[in-house]
Amino acid sequence: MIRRLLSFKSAYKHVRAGFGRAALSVLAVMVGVALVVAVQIMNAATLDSFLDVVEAVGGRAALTISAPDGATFDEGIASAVKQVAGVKLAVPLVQGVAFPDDGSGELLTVFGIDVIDEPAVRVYRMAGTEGIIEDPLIFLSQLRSVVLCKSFAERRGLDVGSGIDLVTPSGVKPFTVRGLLDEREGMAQAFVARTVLMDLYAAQRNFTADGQINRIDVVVDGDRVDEVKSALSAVLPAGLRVEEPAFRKDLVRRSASGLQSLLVAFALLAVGAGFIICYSRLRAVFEARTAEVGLLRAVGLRRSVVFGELIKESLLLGLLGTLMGIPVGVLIGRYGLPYVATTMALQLRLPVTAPRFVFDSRALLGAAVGIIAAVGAATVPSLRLARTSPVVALTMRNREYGGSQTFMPWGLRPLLLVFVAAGILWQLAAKSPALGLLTTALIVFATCALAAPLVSRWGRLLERIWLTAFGPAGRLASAQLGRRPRLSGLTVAMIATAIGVVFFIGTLEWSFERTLVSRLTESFRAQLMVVSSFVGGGYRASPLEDAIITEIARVPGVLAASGEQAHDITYHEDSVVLQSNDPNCFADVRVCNWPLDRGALNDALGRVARGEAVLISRSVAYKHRLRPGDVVELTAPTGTHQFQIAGVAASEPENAIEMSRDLYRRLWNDPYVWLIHVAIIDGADPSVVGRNLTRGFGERYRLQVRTSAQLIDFFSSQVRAAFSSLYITEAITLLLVLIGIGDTFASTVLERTREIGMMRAVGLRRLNVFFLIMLEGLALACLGVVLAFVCGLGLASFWARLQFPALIGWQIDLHMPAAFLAATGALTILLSVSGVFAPSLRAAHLRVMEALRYE
Amino acid sequence: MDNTGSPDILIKVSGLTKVYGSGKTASTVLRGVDMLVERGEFVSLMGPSGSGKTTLLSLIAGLDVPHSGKISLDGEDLERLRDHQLADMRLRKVGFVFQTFNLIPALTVEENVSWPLEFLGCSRRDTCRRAVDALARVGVTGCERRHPAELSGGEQQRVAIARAIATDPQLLLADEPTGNLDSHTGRLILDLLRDLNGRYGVTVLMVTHNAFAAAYGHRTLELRDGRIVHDVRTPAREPASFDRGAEP
Repeated sequence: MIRRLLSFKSAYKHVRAGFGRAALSVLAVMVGVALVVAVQIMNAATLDSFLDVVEAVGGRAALTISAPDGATFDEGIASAVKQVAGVKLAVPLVQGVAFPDDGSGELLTVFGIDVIDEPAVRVYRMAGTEGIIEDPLIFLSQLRSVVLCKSFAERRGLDVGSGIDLVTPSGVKPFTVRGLLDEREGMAQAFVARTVLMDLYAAQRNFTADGQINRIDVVVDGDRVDEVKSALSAVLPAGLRVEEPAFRKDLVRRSASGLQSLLVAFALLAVGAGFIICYSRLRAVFEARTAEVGLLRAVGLRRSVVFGELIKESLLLGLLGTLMGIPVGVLIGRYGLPYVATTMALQLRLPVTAPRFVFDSRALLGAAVGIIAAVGAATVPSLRLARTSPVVALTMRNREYGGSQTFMPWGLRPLLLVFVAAGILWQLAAKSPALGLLTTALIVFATCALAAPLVSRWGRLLERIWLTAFGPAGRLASAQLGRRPRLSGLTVAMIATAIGVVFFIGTLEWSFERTLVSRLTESFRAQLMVVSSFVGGGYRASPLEDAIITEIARVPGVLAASGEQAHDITYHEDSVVLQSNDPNCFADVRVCNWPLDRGALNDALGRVARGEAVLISRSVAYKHRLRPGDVVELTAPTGTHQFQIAGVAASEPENAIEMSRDLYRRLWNDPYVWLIHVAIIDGADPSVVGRNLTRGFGERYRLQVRTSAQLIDFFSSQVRAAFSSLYITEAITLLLVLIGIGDTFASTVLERTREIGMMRAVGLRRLNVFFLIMLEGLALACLGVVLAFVCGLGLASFWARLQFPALIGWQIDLHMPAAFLAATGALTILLSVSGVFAPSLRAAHLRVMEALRYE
Repeated sequence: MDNTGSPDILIKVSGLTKVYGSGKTASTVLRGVDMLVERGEFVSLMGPSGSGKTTLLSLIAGLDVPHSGKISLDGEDLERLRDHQLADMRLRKVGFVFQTFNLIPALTVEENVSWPLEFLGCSRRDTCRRAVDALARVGVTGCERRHPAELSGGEQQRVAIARAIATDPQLLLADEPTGNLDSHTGRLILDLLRDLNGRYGVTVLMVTHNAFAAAYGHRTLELRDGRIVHDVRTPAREPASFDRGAEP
């Protein structure tokens, strides 16, 4: 009994004999598995690389003291920390970014270290730190001394003693190489050889305000971590916090989870499409054997044995698809990794790393998904076939099997729509990313469920259209589809799901981009924008010292210059951008425009300019249920402060709080800006002023002077880059459609061989038969695209209004990418028609007599 | 008297040979068959299984190509016609009735009858009228909106015959039309074929292996081992007498 249960002999024989018909199921499983494996690999490798960075910087320290959200604080704190009982060492660290002044744009993470104590907290070299710096005395005494990574130095022909110019926030500075790091280990490895070490004091001079540091790493005596942590919390001023290294990793994990969930969701949608293809194929394959199964049942085989054998077959197909899908997924993962790393770096606003390709057990989730999808897809057809009475089964030969049935009971559809509505309403109140993903899945499932009724009811309308457009072949084709809602519904569901996802991604990207463009266009009033030529993290340019603003304001033709800084903070466990602008940005409409939503306090902008209040974006207002007059409490390095909300800024797309930069600089110890708005005098030529600015500061700071339109274009390109990793998903989805529709029609032609033979016998030309099948494919593709349009726009609308603010904090307007939707719809129809081409040709060339005898 | 050029001759078959396969596996199904069918005749083609009846029928319909020999239908040499011309000829001049009905399950009764008319280029009104008329001629009324699966075997075969005669063909080719029916229904179908032949002048060439069914024709050709071995004219009988004969 057990032996028979475990024997795959019969299943293997059937799979081998009918492999041609089941091959597309294998392909569908393969694509689904490949995508899940690829996403798992890319997610894991990218996250690991960012965690490596966090770990390398955290090093051996048991505790870390820092200001919230990477702000700086006074270095005097380190002396106080050293006095706490149980603290063995308190090592300060300054962190900044610089760029080699050679046009490469390579981002270098600079660490200002305490040369004496540093080896106790961070690993630079496994064998010890001795020998990295040739002469520590010179390193300490010469402020322009740096240690570079060996490969970085070698690429530029640098050695110890060579000079290198680095672009810092305070301009281009010459430095001398005093030592070289091996990037095969320690910090340099985590930063992929893009680390620069300099003395703490030198780093303070170049990357923070005077006497400011970014963190203190604490080495604790023995295992007194909890005791020391409590003691430190008691002595530290409000605003500073003590954390264990694991906390920082959790923060990165939490921040990355939004994008990673998004990728997993897309991969699972592809698996869903694969599941539908698999179901459709296995159903056809199994039902073709109805009479055979009837015979087996008639001679005494139990239902359970029939069911078990069919499931074994699907298991074998699933295994084969999985075995093929894993290497394909590994390949996709390897090539897609840089795109995902770039997207995640943009989202986390971290430097782009080069993640190491890792294949581990996490990728095996794809294998499980593939096998479950194949077995799951086979369950219903297997059960149905096993439960068919032998008498009925034996008479099924040459007859449509339950042709009028749909694949879902009608009563479930309204219930599903109720669930969707409930999910949307609940999300409106809960604003939970997990609930949003569940509702997304429900919307997709509801789309699948609506496919059969759509085919059935709209089929009548389509008949008229097809008759007018294509004559009798068109009417016959559309009539055939409308009367076979189960098979047609499955195909339409597959197209609608797959292309709906593509429409959804495209609409979301376009909405994101257009929202950014429209709101920034509304907000930017200054004609010119000055930014560093280098990107510091995410879409923001590298910081510049704010002294430059005064100098820019003196350039002939400049009416006003206004600095802007952005700093990511945490507000009620939500990532919020703390955006600060110089007071003239709020006071002078020639510099900035601040459209406010209704309900703003009197003189709202004046209050913000004077540092008496703040503005919040719509997203913050929506997520945290805040309104003008309310108070927000924020923790700065200088303590916890309360700010009254003066109004809601309508033009701010991000999850942001806006305040005066005077206030920000004072409370957050940040003297840098990332963007300078430059308004010019009426009548002055912007291009002449721009050239003056470039001439005056370009060389010294490596600045870029752009018009506001150019800067907005740059931001748009960053949005496109952020979505670039999803293009792979779109391409695979389209491939699935091609496979799916080709598969459906290959089986349709096979199932209808006798019918086609009869039509030819009655007098249809080969060309009539060819067009008949092609027009059926075209009709399904059109219905699929219509439903995909509804599904895609529904999803995009849900994500734009509810899920995106919950997931990453941006509230965006829904914009329809008409050209994209039209092009993708047309491409889908073209691909579908291409997929139907071969089956149509086969149908047209069937030998009539053989077709009439086909069983 | 040689009357092969006569306008009364609808089908002329001469020296027809059909070989399936090649070399050692070659199987000769028809060996120099000669036959003539006049307009308005009801000819039964009898023979045991594998004698070549269905092959002969398919060659006459232009569904297959003979190895040698000639077939002329309504004065047209099938050999000279291209594939699409053969299809057009079938659509306009030939009606087909199959043993397994071969109705399209997704279409209603009326649509199953009307679709060949649409391909013939009839207007919508004309298509509808002719389909209803054809259904009335075969005695199927009141179930135009039903699907084939909702009909009995006999009704399905009537609908199949309606589809075949809706285009007003000159020739009705029936391949074992009673093979899937019970004896009573089979008789009704045979009566219907004879009625169509007698009342509307449709030439019928019916393949059967049943002597009783064959007796419905004016003439019975017996095919054995690929050759016509008997060509017998059936004596005229009253329809009622069939009720007492062997069952189809």
